[in-house]
Amino acid sequence: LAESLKGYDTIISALGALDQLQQLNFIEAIAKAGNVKRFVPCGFITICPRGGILTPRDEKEEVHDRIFEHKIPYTIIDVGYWHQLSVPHLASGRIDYALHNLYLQPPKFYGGGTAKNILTDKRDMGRFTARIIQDPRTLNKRVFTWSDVLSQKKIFALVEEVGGEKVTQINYVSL
Amino acid sequence: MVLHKVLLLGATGETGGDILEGLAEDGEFVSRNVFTCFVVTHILNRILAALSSQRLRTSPRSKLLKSVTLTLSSLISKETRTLWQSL
Repeated sequence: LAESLKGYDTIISALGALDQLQQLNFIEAIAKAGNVKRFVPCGFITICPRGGILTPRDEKEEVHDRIFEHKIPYTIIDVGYWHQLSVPHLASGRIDYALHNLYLQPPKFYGGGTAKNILTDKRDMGRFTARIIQDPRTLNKRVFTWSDVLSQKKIFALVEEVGGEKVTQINYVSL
Repeated sequence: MVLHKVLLLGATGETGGDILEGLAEDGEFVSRNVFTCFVVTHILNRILAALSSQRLRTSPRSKLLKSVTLTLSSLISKETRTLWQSL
């Protein structure tokens, strides 16, 4: 594997949120190849502290530790919560085409819905990534990408305004 | 024009697909055909990884599958190199 990695300027991993640790052996191969100019690990997950809060986040940090250990040139791209997971489902189903399958169910509404969330549109990730890996300033840095900062209250209001119907069947979650 | 040579792992996945689109749209990176080869190689690598698991390692059928997968992987890697050299 190390041999086949030689000659790349950049390696981007998008193995999946639940496959983070599969990258560990791959990082060993990158280290052995020795001439990869930039590795972008799969880490397109929301930011939170490590330590049992979000399993993919803990695994992601373990991957980062291995990158640092080998002193592999890197760029870590962090994202906000996906737009596609933030927009609530409407009873008529008229906006389901734009939602992630995970969210085709009654949405959860946390507290009063006033906390602002940093959001990233998943469809922008390619453009973000293309620009980031061509920018020398992003080498050995964490880069945060986002496109909106909105509260749930604001998002729901926008959906109701544009969709022309009330968001129903909300699961209220107290904080 | 010197193209930026990028290996994208997981290009058929949720986020990987979006990244592939963005890189292809940008135009500063290697052609999509090369990406496709890498995607196939990645899938084959995943099969090999699965075959290495404790549960499957002892299965006689998995030995045959591993052999076929390795051959395919080798052919795809060769094809990728050819595409690369043609850039």
